[in-house]
Amino acid sequence: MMTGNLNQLVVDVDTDKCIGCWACTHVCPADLFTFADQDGRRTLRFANTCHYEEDCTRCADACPEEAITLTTATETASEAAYLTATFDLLDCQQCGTPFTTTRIVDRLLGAIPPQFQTDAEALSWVRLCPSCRQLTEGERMAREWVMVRWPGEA
Amino acid sequence: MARLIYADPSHCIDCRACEVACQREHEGLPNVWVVRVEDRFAVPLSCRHCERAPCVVACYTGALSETEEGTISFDAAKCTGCGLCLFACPFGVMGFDWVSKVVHQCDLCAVRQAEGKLPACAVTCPTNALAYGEYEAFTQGAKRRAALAMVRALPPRPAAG
Repeated sequence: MMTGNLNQLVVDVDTDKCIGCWACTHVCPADLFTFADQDGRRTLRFANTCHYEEDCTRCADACPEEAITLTTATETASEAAYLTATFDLLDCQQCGTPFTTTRIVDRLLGAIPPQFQTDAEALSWVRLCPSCRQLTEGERMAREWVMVRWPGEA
Repeated sequence: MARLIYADPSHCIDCRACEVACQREHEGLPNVWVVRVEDRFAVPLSCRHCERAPCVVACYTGALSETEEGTISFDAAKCTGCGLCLFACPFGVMGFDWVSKVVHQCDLCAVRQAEGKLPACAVTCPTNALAYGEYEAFTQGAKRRAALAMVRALPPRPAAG
């Protein structure tokens, strides 16, 4: 039986590229990546060595920014060490709840299809949390219905 | 034209039977939400299966994709659980399953449809505020109601004299 350390991989995370999403934290079978949101900031913690499986590349494959590099360790680390990265969370413009990282919002803003950018409130919805987006859409539909049903009232 | 779920909030009574029916069909995870506005209105919201959908654009693994029929399909095996689509959806109607660590979204009750049944929310809705079908069929009824409302709002015709 081989010991785990013989299969050791070095996990290198480029925290300049990392946007603070949940991908690595959710695909890693050994839970080597974790995140915690506190006081308007998200902290990701990455293990810098892995000995789960020699050919497991789930984290590197899942990363949307290709920020994770795995290399075979040349020497055995004596103990596990961790790298942390902290990201600003964006506060919902309506309810104030921090809901996702500013870097995720920046990535999404670069890719929003044009039909969602054309209205007068262009892209203001991006800065709302999902619950407030539901409420905003509900209010819009309710207003539309009032105008149809009671044209005088709206 | 794809067959989708359409909502007419003027008929919604905020009973939330659609939410319960949806959860029953999707292992406790809802894909429809009734939003109450000002204590006077209730609006059922679920995935609109947008054309050039932001969730599909945000998804970099192909877990979310647009089908030939014009609906959004989701393949949990390809989902990394990154959560980008949750924040790309303009209507806030993507859900996250914290047990399986993947997202969930309205699949128009694919399992029921394979059995020849209609989506659970639409068959359950007691007031037909939710309907499943083609856009044209749904808007015909809505247009008729809107026209009726306009006619009713007109001042009475002056007596002939």
